[in-house]
Amino acid sequence: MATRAARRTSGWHITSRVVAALVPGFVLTNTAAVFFALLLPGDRFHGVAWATVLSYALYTAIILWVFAVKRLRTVWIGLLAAICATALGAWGLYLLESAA
Amino acid sequence: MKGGFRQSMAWLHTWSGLVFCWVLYFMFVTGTLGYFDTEIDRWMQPERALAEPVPLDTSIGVATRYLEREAEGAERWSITPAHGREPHLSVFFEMPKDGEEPPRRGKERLDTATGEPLPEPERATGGGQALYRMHYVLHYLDREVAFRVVGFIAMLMLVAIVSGVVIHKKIFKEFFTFRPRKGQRSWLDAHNLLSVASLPFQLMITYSGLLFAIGTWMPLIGVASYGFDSKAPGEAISAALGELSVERSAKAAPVTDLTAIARQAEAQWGPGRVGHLEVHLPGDANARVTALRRGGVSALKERLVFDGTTGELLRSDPAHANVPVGIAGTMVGLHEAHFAAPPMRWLYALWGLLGCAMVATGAIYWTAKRKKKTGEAQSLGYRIVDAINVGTIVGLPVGVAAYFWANRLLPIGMDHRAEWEMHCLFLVWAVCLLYPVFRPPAKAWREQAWLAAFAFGALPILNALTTEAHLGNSLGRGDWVLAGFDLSAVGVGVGFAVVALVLGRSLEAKKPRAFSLAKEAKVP
Repeated sequence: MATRAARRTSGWHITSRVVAALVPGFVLTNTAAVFFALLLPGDRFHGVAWATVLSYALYTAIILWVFAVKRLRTVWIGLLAAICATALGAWGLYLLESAA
Repeated sequence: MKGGFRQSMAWLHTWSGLVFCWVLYFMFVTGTLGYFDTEIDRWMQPERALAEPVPLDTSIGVATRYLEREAEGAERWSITPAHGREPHLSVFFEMPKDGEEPPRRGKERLDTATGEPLPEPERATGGGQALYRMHYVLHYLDREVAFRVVGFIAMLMLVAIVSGVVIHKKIFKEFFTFRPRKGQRSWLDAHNLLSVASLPFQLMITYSGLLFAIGTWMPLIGVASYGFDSKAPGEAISAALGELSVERSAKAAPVTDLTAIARQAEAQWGPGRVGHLEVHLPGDANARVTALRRGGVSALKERLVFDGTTGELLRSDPAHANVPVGIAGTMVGLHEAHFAAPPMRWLYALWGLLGCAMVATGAIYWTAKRKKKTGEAQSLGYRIVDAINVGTIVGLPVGVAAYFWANRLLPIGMDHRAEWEMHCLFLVWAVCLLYPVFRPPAKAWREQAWLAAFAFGALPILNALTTEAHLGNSLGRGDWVLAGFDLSAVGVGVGFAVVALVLGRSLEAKKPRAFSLAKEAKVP
């Protein structure tokens, strides 16, 4: 299974996915966790602690997704869109809270 | 990826598992040995006298007198009375920072009879601690760099575990499937069986291992959530972990009676439940004393905070500030297993061995499968992986045995003795890595397995020839720490002998047609 899949997939595809998992995948883990931390009710530390403890599970899910998706374009667009959405969301929540 | 979902997950499982599998194996072997670190320490310095148990009051009194004499004006003192596997009272201190120099620190095990540090035996050694530390900071590498590398590999391990679970639709059925003597298929069955049987342990040990590295790999979540220019995340974390921040006053004041504080903590928690006493800014009017509880699974403990000059109880903190901190503390506690009594400790060691075998069978399966695919032609890459497999899967244990041999054979009092013990481990491992390059792989497997069997099996004999800590004495005295080490070494030796015999038999069965691991190395 493994080698067959590898042969069908070009080196460029593999490299691209590895880079996607390592760089934007890791960035998304952080932006999404920050967003989640600010979204959770209760005191700030409670949210941050949950987000941090779960961050590795989130990263694992993101990596699996990066390698499961069929089209390379979906991977990159998906990751970048999710980073923007979560980062903007986190920024918005942060501003809202500082204003309040 | 092209191909189905299961196929891309299989690809991910193969490569996330394989790329660093030998480092992972190294982490599993040294980490598993780490569950017996103090027992190995004891075997490697059998000359060290055993401490007699003394009352808590005596320990605290001895430690206080020593610290007042040696570490006046310190930032922090820590006193750990003897407990469970650690039979000695120990103290730690850290002096104030002096300019650019890192602060002077000291750590001593004290003799409760004399109040002086226990003399270091002449047999200098890294002990079990050096083995244990390598599972997270490796060796010969900068600590910080190695810690990052280990965290990265742990992340790959987590990906390998989850993708490994995903690709198995019949995980329950596979648990009861083992087809011996079917070459490649047997390796896969063994790999599945080992992994599924120890899956909860593997998930726990990997995830909790990653939690140790939160500060290294995931610090931005906390930092960004508070705004980048804020000091709040550091303060929140310190508060959650119960670290005190105390400001030094200009006024001096004598430290309160620590035995009274220890007694009060013991009255609240029960005998033997006072884990540590910490004194912040001893001798200052703002001094604080914290008592930490011993026991329970979590790495975070309940604590009592006292005024360091009056001895008044200021507050009582629960072990966990909130649920996620509790989860993290419990995971880390499960990883460290300080709570584990001997039967549980042996179970941990067994799970650790299953982990070693899981990584090893995975790596062997990869070559077995490749071998079948590419036919008899042995590519250079294949030969290299196969040679590293032999040299590491069997060679690393041989290196560990060499570490123990070096402990008994290197001249007592030689310079850098402890370092040389460790060099012996890596030198012997290096030889084991080179050896299969010049031997047909199947023969190299069998010969190294015999070498490992001898290296471990003969350890009790070497021990008897070089020290008084041999089985004749240890069994007679009922000293199960020393005897347990020797008997375990024999057990490991027998295990490798069985492997060597099985490998030898399959060699006999299929005479030298081709030295392929896939065909010949059928270990059930």
